[in-house]
Amino acid sequence: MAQTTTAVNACDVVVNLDNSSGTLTDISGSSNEVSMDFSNNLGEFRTFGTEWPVRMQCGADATISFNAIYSTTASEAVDILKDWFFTDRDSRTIRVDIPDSSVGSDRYTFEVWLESMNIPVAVEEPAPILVSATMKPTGTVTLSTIAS
Amino acid sequence: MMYRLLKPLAFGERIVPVGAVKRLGLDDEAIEKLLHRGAIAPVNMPPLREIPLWKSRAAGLLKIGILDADQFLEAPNKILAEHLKVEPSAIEEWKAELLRWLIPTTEDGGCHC
Repeated sequence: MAQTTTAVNACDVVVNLDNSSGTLTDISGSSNEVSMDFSNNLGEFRTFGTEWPVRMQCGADATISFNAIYSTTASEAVDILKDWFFTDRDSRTIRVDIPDSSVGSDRYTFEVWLESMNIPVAVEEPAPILVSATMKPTGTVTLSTIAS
Repeated sequence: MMYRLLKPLAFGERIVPVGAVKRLGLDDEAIEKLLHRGAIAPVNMPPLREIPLWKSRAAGLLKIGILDADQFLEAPNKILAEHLKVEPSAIEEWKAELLRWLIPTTEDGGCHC
């Protein structure tokens, strides 16, 4: 089998998150990791005289989390997260473009609630504070191909 | 050229679902990338003479080398209007009529009835 020539890495991934005005804001410059976990809702049963369970599929769900650099500039990732938790607690859109935002790239779009935000503050840590946030989608998560 | 969407396409913040048939209005490089990704597939257009009630228009258009619906949709309205001796607005209406016929709508399930 031929070796792939189209592998991608995450170097140029673009992450956008709604600010409090509902405007998608590029937070790629103040975040460095995004994780999207997708799961199917499976049920199972097994009857007398059988060894292997039968499984059925029903719903689907996702969890999205990302790491943000704690910075003091307005409209950067942590500023938006703080505002989201403490001020405007509505659902928001988050969008992840892989490998970048050019034509042909994959675009994952979520409408999400902020589930948790972790701000680890340790005196012995010289690196910037890395804030993590976890979000759960409400409604359908969309995968599309960027056309323009 | 018309294309059928094999994957949902994002045009900015607007997402067009799978199955839609559209003229994409993108440059050649973008079309090439989307074809390579398997996101779109070109749709073969029917000859104009096969479109109901278009026989006479098709005959007129054939004289300037326009045989199928794709050629007609891509041709400039002004040139078509001059050749067929009609107003450019009529050409615009014909193109809209043709697109309605070619692209199934949710309202009538594509039966055009």
